[in-house]
Amino acid sequence: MGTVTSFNLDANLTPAGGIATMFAELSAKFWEQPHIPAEQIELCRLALAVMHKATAEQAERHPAAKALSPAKADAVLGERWRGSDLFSPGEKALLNFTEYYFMDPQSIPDEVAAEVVGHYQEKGLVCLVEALGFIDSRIRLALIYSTLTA
Amino acid sequence: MGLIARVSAPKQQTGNIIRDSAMGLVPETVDEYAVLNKSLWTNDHIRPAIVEMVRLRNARTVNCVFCKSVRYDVAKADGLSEDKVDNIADGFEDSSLTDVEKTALAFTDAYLFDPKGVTPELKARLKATFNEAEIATLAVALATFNASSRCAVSLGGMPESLPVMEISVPE
Repeated sequence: MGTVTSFNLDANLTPAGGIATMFAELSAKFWEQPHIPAEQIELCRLALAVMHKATAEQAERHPAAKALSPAKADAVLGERWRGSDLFSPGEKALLNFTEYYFMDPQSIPDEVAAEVVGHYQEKGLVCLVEALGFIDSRIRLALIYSTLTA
Repeated sequence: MGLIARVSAPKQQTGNIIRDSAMGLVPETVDEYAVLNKSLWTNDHIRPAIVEMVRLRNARTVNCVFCKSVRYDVAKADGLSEDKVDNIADGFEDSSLTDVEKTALAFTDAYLFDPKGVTPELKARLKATFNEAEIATLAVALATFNASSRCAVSLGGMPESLPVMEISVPE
């Protein structure tokens, strides 16, 4: 098998049986929920891919986020989002939270979490941390399986 | 660490620790989350005691106080003792844990600390110890535990410490 990304990871997990199916189905739910648009979840996925230095992951685009502008994706991939006026304050709040989340969830300042709640309500913050958890975990497993299947 | 909870728990309590947590605020995913969590303990490939060791190694690394304090009764019934739990610390490779247990923890550490850096030695060790279904089961369990514990820490309200408590897997 070639390089594994979060997009083709599930084929590797299939031998686990039912839990692999459940894991795949739950992972897909975060792209359909009503609290944070899929395009904004995609910005967070790309940011995680950059921080993991997951090159193949960065080249992918999630089909649920077709409306995401290439300029925004490029700004996240180029780590230029913070100073860019392409992004809404809400999108910047999500990306800022994502960076702290990646480094260490213990390091997330209260005001950074409050900013997300201010834009997306409490449900949005819960949805974000759940989505980041599954996206981050899928990128980690993809990186491991890229080596295991090489 | 955020000592004050950043979100409220759902008003309606069900007796299920997952549905009654802040995760209950997202009804689109909470049921699937609860079912997946339960199913990890009844998988066909990895014993509950090993699953619990992987969960606790993750909890320790993420520093999820809730997760660290819990012991699942199915794991204890499967032979997980507090002596074994004490060995899930840094330096576990030199402990009295079995080779299977050490390899499961080495896989956990690769995931947590350097997923791009799986060495040829670890790859060979994994393949010599576990078959494909077992590795995949460890992978799904670890990914789910890691997502859950990072979620708990991210939402704040974590106490500084908690006593060890034995619980059943939530239905």
